[in-house]
Amino acid sequence: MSYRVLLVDDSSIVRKMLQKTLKLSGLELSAVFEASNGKEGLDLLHKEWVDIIFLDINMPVMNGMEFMRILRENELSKGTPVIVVSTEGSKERKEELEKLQINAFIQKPVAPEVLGQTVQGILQGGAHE
Amino acid sequence: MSKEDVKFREDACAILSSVADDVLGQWAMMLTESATQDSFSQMSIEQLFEANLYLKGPHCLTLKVLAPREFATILHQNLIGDSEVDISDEELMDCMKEMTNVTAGKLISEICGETEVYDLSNITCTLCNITDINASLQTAASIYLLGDDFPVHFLITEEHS
Repeated sequence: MSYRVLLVDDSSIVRKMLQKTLKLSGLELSAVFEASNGKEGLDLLHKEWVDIIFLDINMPVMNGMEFMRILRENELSKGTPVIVVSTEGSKERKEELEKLQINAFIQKPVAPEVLGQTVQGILQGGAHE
Repeated sequence: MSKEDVKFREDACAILSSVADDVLGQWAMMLTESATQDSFSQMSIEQLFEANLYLKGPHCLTLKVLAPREFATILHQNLIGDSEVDISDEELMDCMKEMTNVTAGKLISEICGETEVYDLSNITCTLCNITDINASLQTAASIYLLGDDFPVHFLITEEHS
C-alpha cells in the first residue's frame, strides 16, 4: 500500500522532519503535499485527493482548529482522516480536538514507530495502491 | 510570591535540566555534557540565535534558548538528515524554534501533566550579538549544556501579574 499525505504546518523544518519520520516508519508514500497554514491546506484539497492529513494547531492565517471545522463541513473531505501533531498535550486541548473529529493526536516529539502504528491503524484497508 | 509559586519555580528549574538533556540527546541526537556560561566566551562566539517561547497558562513563563550558529547547523543536520553546505538563517531559526517548542511541550507535560492548558503559540527567533544578551544571562534561572561540543543555554523566566 502506498499513501498520499498532506502535511499542514507553518514550519518547513517540521514538514521535512515529518516526511523523514514517515519514511523511517516504513510507510510507503506515493505523494506528499505540503501546506504552510490551514487555508493553503484547504486550497490544496480542492485540487488533490489525499489518504491522510497531518495537522499542526498553531499556524498563521488559518489555524488547525479552523481548518478542522471547515474540513468536516465539506462533503468531499469530511471523511478524510486527520492526525494532529502538536506539543500541546493537555486533556482539555485533546477534548477540544476530539469534538472536531480528529482521528488521532500525537504529541511531539514524534517517534517513527508511533507514527507508523497510528497511520496503519487508521488507514487499514483504506488506502489506494 | 506564594508558596505554590515558589514550588512551581523550583520544580520548573529542576525539570528543565532533565528535559533539556533529553531533548538534545534523544530528539536532536546530540552527545550532551553539562557546561557553564564560560563555554560561550571560550569559543569566542559573537552571535547567537535566541529563541523565545511565551507560555501562557496558570503561570506565565518565557522559555528562552540561546545557541551559536554551529549548534543550530548540527541541529539542522541531525533533524533533517542532510549535510547542506549553505543553510539559510531562516532554516536555522526554524530549527531553533522547533527545539524550543518541543522543550516547552515536554516541560509543561512534566510539570503539569495533562491537567493544565498552556498556549504555546507565541514563538520567535532572532540572531543577536552576545553583548546584547549578557544582562539577561546574569539574572534568569538557567542551565547550560554542550550539544556535540557546542554550547546551548536554556532559561525560564516567570512573569507576575
